[in-house]
Amino acid sequence: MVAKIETFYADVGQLIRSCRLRLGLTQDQLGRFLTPPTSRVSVANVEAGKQRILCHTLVQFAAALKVELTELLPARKDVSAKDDNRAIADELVSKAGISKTTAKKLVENPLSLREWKEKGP
Amino acid sequence: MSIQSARKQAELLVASLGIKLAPVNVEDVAKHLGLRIISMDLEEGVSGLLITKPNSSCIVIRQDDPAVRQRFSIAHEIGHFFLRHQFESGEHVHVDRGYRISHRDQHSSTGTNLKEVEANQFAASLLMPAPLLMESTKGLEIEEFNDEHVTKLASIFRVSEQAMTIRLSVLGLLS
Repeated sequence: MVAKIETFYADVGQLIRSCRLRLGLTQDQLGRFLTPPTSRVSVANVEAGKQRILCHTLVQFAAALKVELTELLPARKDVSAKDDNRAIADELVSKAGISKTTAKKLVENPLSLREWKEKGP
Repeated sequence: MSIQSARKQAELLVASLGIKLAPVNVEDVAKHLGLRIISMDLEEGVSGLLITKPNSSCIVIRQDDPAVRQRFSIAHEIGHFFLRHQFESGEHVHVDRGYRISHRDQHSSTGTNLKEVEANQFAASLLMPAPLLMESTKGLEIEEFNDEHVTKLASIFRVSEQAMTIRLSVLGLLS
């Protein structure tokens, strides 16, 4: 159970991080938008999921990042993941002409597929 | 969102990641955004896919495409992801088929095409950020661009000569 909670905060952190990068803000700049202002280290900890963010702080993060609060919340994995995977696999088959087996692999176990690497220096 | 803004967002992203040297490593950029890149056998004409899934979105590219093409496809898909392009509600998979590179296109006013144009401009700016390009052209001490310069710059930035030509024109460096 603990692991699941940790994943949740890591996911929230990842969402905050991508919103911040999208705005071109540094962790330091983002911290200064909060009340009271928060240090760069604290923002870094939230993004890494090491610090459990408080509810009112999350609201402030959403305002500073110019997004809806819900955009900083991970999807409910428990109920939707399975249905989502099936829907995505169906889309891959119908839109991209990918075989059913490969589509399933792509959504359920992408680690089993070849990752693209940037070549050379 | 406009084309100008798409270009600017790409350059801000490059700057915020501290990238100061060409070629821009698109694998690193994707990783920073939490995107995994998968290379596989895709049907002819499909250059890239963006699969949007909560917390585990990924880009799929065609393994048989040349590296410069793959890099552009990846940058293009990063553009869709970063600019949060929503094509249809509830859609998880976006398929790109040999998109047009020109932004002066008769179809570019329609919603979907506008997103493709934005993603292309984002990709061009991500792979060839203006500050880095200016730096490289300074190094070459060019008075007037010729084909050789374009070839050289394309190889420095690991893009196609076509993409480099368009980018130089957009920046007003090529007439």
